[in-house]
Amino acid sequence: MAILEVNNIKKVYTTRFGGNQVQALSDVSFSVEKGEYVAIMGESGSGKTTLLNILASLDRATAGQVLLNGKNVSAIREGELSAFRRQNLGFVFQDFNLLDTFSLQDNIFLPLVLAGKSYNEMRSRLMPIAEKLSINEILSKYPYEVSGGQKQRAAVARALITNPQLILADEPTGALDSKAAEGLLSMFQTINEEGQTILMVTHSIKAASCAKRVLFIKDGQVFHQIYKGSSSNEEMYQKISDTLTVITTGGERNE
Amino acid sequence: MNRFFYGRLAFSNLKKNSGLYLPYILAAIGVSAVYYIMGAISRDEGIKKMPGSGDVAMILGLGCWVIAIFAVIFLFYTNSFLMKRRKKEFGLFNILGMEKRHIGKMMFWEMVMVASVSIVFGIVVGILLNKLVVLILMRLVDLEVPFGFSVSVEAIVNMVILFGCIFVVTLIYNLFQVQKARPIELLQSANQGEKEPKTRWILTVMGLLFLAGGYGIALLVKDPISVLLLFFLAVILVIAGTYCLFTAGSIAVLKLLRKNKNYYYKINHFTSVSGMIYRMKQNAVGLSNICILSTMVLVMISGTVSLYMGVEDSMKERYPKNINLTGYDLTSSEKEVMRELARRGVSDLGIEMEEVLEYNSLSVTAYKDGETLHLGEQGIVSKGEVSVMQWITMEDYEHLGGKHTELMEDEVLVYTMRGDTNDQQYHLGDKSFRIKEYLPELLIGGTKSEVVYDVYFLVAKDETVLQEIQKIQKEAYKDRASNINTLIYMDVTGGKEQEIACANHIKELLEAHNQSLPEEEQINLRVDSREDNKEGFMIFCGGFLFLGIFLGFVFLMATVLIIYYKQVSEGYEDKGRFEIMQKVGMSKKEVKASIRSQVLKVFFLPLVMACIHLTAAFPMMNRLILLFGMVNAPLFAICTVATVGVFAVIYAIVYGITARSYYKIVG
Repeated sequence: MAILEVNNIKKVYTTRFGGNQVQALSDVSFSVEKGEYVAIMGESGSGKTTLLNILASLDRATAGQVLLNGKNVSAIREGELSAFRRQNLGFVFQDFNLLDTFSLQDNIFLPLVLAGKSYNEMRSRLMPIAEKLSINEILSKYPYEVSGGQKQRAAVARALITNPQLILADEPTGALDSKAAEGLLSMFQTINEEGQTILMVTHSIKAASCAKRVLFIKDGQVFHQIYKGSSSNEEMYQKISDTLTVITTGGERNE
Repeated sequence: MNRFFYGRLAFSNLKKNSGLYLPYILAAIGVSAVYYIMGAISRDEGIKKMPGSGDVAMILGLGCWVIAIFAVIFLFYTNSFLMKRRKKEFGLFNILGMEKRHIGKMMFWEMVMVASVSIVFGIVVGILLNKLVVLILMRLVDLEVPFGFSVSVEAIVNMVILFGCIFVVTLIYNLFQVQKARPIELLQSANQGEKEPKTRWILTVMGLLFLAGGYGIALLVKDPISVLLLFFLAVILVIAGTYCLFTAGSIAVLKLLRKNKNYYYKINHFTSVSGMIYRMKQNAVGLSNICILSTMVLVMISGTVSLYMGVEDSMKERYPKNINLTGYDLTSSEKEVMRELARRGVSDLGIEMEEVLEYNSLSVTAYKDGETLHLGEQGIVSKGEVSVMQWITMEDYEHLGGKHTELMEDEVLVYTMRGDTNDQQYHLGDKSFRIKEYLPELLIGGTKSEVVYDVYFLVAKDETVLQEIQKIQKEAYKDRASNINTLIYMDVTGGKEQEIACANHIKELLEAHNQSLPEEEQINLRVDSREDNKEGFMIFCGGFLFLGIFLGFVFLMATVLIIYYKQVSEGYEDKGRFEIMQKVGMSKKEVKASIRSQVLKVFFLPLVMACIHLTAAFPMMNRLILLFGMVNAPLFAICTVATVGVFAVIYAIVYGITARSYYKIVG
């Protein structure tokens, strides 16, 4: 069953006085099944971030619809959006977006506090996750006291703690060194194997090669997709990089 | 390069940062206008001509100094907000290739513009408002308003010098700040991760002790003279306590709140408590400044307002009747002359006497130690409370309307203000007086205005007793001993003018009488009219009220501006935080509620604290204004409550505006 369905999404940015129109997404359609791990790749300006923002209900599409679990996201009223986002989506950002004023534990608790959960429930939900992400030793530390990898693991914990339908990750390895990035990616794989659906937007071939399926976006459309199938991460890496070469050196020729 | 380049750049910078600079310039205009007005009034010719102008000039001169000191601190403080916000901009200029001396040139032009606009508008606003303020002052001191529109060049020069210096020093400070910083520091200085402050229990306890000390003095010290001496100690203790408590105590309290899981993990408290802990170090000083400024505004205005409102009352206390004659150590023939003078003074003007009171009294200052009254110089006798014993005879007491009581030579009736009411007898020298009865009320006024010491009012059998007591007193005090005074109080028909004229006429008659006599036979007589004295007192109290309201207004303006800047600059810092929270799933409504909760705490903490300070200070204030002859405590209470009410309303309005502009920045 498809957990996320994207049908003919179009996004046009208009400058303030209606002068110039910029088309960020022209016609995007795809779907994500439950338990999938999808990476979306594309060059700067290809519309990746716009797409992610629309999926995250932070932005609204000009045309088309996004269905999450069969529910039309664009039809949700403004007042209920935050609650909807909180209940169904988990976010992992490139720059972590942890709050300096909170300890890691309180950062992780934030969405639950917003949902009005009791401390005991929050605590009992946190423990297994913290153990899995091996951050239980540093929960009382503040973001500026820990490394980038640890910060991103805390951010992942914050995304997981609400048991979301879908985790949206925006360049999660972008600000990490290669070792921390590898750790995070293997963690994503583990989480996915346990059944968590993940949608990741990335530049990095390395990151994308961990996903089960990779979508390529170019000029506001889904240009191509490849499945990992039974291939290893290395083979996937090769496939992706070949595809990218084709796209950048003029894909039109081959079509 | 175009030589106007830096000027234009500076101008566009100011325009871009108008949200920051407009309040700063307005504040500078306000403070400089206020300083000009103060200076102009204290030099005003019209005021110099009015009676009792010495007092008013002294009060206004004091005000000038207070405002000058205040202007320096205040403008420096607000400038630091500006610099903090603009460092990133300077860093960017630096990285884009501007050298520091170029930035310096730009800052110089900015300051020139800010300073000239502030000073020029300060002068204009000052001159325009000056007339209004003079009108208010004259109205307050109940005098005719002189016509004309005056400009004091001297005050303008003073003002330009003071504010020129302030701006120059500010510029030098800012240049120094930029000079010593590296560009990368300039870029990042707005968002440096701060260490969470430690809980400092020692400082918290010290703060509590200071506060307890200050409050203790205010509540426990009863003797008005000591109050005057200890008042400043109490003020300093309370200020120190406030700073300690806001720096350390607030963090301790917030951390306790955070420990309370059920409180802390609620949407509103969660973000506001953590945000406040995070920023408490820099908050603390700001909040204590606000608290202390608010307290000063409240104390000053409520004190001076009630002093002013109570002028009528305190004059009635001090002068029970319209015209009051006091004769010192008169023989019975001289007393007759005194009566005659009063009669003629009234009848010559064609008016009549009403309600004449006459009595003799002997006032003896003694150190009352239990039932023993010690006489002697201060310093030699140290035991006991200083008490004023006022003796009158039974005969006079009856004249005043008292009930006749048969008294023995060693018996007295006693009425006391603030004194002991459980004594059986008094020992004075080798004599003893049995207290036959305590009187429930006093029939003559004038004693309530004796506010410094305990007052005892004793009715003795006859004049012989009084003379004996005077003899004892003379031995102890030698030539500083007091005499038996003869007092005549009377009301006269007619209005204010007649009263003053009558008192003056009696003085003239007295002079005429004394002129023909050798010095030792002259009558030692003092004539007061209530109206005459009221005028002087009114000028004094009105001057104080004026200063109180004026400074209160200035401090209020400062409080408002500090709060505004604080919230706005925090708004910029919090912007990122609220963006993250919205991404994680906080709705706009929750953001608003959380902001309200945080701003509310920040706002009303100082106000609540200021009210607590005021409550504790109330008894002491009450005793202090007693020194000015204001005896109406309920009136003072009403004035204080009203002042707090008005202040709270203004405060709430500022809160509304601030919360809105904070939300605009964040949302």
